[in-house]
Amino acid sequence: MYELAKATHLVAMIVWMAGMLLAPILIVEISKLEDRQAAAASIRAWYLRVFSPAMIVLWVAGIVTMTMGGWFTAPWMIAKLALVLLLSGVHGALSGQMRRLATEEGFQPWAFLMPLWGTMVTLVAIITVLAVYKP
Amino acid sequence: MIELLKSPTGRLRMLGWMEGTTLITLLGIAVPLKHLAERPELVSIVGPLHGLTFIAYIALASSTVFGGGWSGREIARVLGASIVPFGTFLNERLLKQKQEELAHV
Repeated sequence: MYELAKATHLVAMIVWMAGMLLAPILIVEISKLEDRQAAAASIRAWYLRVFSPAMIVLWVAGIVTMTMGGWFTAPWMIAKLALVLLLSGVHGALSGQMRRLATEEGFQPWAFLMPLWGTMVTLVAIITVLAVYKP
Repeated sequence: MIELLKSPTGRLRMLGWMEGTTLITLLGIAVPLKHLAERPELVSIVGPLHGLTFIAYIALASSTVFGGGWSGREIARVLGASIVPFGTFLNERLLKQKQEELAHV
């Protein structure tokens, strides 16, 4: 059961991060298009149907793995939880940007979307180090 | 109930109730049962359930407030409430007001 939960957590993480890292690039590129509302709506549908469920699966499998591993109060786990929670907030914020792009005429996405992309990669690197080394 | 699910703010209100209710159940019933009656079963069910509604609330709150029509102060209030215990109940009035306001945009 532990191995299954851990494997599910990893697969969900790969799928979720694929969507999260693609989203800022797509928002920036789609905002340059002439007919951008249809493209934004289509990308947002993918985001809500694939990447949001992946985030939920990641959390469920992560909580099961954490409980079975007995790491609930470990400092590295608390730090990891806080960072993944922050990424979950960013996930929601990106969804909001996509909704505005799909529904508002002339909407300009955040100027800091590409720096945000770099921040997300850094957060994932820190989360990975915490999970592997368990300091 | 169905009306509530039609808008992002309505869905956030509903999730806020779930988040607050699971916290009340956890702290008011499950934790006392665990420590006073040595019955940890309810904590093992309500604990993860509250955790998931909390995470879902943060993601949905971010999506809703960054989806347009919210001032900086309102954004800070909604996101701040998501990390304060029972904060979702405190924001109910603001969310109801925003739901009505955004329905007419």
